[in-house]
Amino acid sequence: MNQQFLIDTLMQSGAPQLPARADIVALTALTRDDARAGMNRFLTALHEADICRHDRANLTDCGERSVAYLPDGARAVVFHASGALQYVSGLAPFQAPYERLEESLGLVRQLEQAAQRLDLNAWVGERGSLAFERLWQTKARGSDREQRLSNPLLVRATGAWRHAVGGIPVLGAAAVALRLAGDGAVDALSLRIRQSEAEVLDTVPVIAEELAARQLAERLASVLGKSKDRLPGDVVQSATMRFGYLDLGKRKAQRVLAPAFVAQVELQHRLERQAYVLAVAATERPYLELPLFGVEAPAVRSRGLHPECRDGAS
Amino acid sequence: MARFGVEAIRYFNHARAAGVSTAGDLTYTFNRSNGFDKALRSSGHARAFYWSNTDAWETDIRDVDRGGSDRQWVDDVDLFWIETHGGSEPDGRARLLYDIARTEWRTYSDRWQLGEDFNSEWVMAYSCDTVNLDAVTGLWNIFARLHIYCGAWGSMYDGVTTDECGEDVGDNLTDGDTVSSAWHDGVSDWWVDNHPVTVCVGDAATWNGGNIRWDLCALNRDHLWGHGSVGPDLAPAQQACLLWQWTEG
Repeated sequence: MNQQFLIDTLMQSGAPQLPARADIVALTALTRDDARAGMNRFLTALHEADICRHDRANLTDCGERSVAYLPDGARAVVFHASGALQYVSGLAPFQAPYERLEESLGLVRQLEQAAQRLDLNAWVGERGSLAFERLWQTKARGSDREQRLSNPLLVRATGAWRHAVGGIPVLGAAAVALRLAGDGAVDALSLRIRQSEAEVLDTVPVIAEELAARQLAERLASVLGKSKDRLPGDVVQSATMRFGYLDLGKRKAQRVLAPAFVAQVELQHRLERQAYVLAVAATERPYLELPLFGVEAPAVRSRGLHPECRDGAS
Repeated sequence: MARFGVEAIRYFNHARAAGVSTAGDLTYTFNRSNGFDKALRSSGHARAFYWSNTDAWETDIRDVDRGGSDRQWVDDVDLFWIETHGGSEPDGRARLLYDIARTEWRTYSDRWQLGEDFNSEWVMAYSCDTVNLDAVTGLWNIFARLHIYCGAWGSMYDGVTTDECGEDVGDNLTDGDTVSSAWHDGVSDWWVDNHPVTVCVGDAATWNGGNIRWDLCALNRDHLWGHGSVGPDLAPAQQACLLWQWTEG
């Protein structure tokens, strides 16, 4: 792989103007009661938008989540560590599909109108803002034995919004994902916006974009490892790099929002396509742990030379 | 309740050293696979096996009639989750890479035949490109009473922001989502360009002369055992159509 090509591609995709310094923003430490209070607020908002018939529900504690089972098969979930919220309607997956394929602009308009009804901006917090980022469409199709294809069916439209704090996007899963059925009903809503009073703990220099791109390329090289065959220069299909705060996921507690560079890289060589998300701190001193590798395999006995053994079952 | 099996591969150093592939290691394989395993086990489902790295073999999914041992592994559980590098052929066959040749380095789906013993209902593969959207019917042979195959029609991202996908799928299943919805929603963070697709077979009433009765198909009806209804097995002679649902951004 041509590492310099990757670095150049990442840099070209980066933000046109990076801030020289960025704030380290404190996040509110959540108690379980805080998370549950967030759930009550969520249910009230859903009720006021006529999405949910009740604004109260009994919560079932499921370890790192609490789940509220709602009328008509719907449910709402809150994640204790992050306060992330989810609502899923009781609609069957193919109930109320769209009558025809729709233009993207029309779907985005529908989603934005639904977002307004839900008053999603009420969740953005101090110095926060929300911007529509991407439309997703779920479609379906079939074929019979004679290879006759049905017309494609648009089943659901999902809009994704990006949260920003002080103008810096919070990267990671979409801050808001809103899924609509064909009749305009809200089929699902997820909110992943961490609570913050926007207290600035520190304002620190941002590392040079080239340094970040180089670190990301080195991370990729270490994932790719050594190979009998050299990777050709054109193995990189696409590579983008974004600067922003990074949300570590809804099941993880997080003390601060700290800037990072996050790359998405797709590779294709011979039979395998590969797609990686890589992140490095955008500050000299790291405020978040961003390990290249996750956890290891569970401790089960090796299969050894006995193909029929079931030691992995424990 | 369901019996499930997991296979997950993080290191591909043997495949690379053998010149079989240049594929890199996967970084958050076990966050996803362990998360899936944890979500199901905490709801009372039974793990039948969890094979990792070089303990995951292509013969585990290959049909007994084709020299494999699926009857003891993938075809012996209700739900099978695998994470590795994947791909598909122009004729629609899915392809998965292993890090050991037991007995081959790759599996091709024309050698799978799942559900023959009425056990295997659902297969989930967190791998890139395991469904060719231009030739989905190339997967038909795998449905020997298998209900749903969950895969990808393009990239599936590995990294720090997709580490919860396995647990999300597991939680969705045990919260009562359909299997198809659990996959589409669980592997989508609505940021990275993941490409979930779910494929099932339907009978003549479902095909309905091409005016598909989507309400009757497994994508609409199947839930994990213990968390909702499950549609009937369809023997190959009853299968009139192949149906698929995909998410694109």
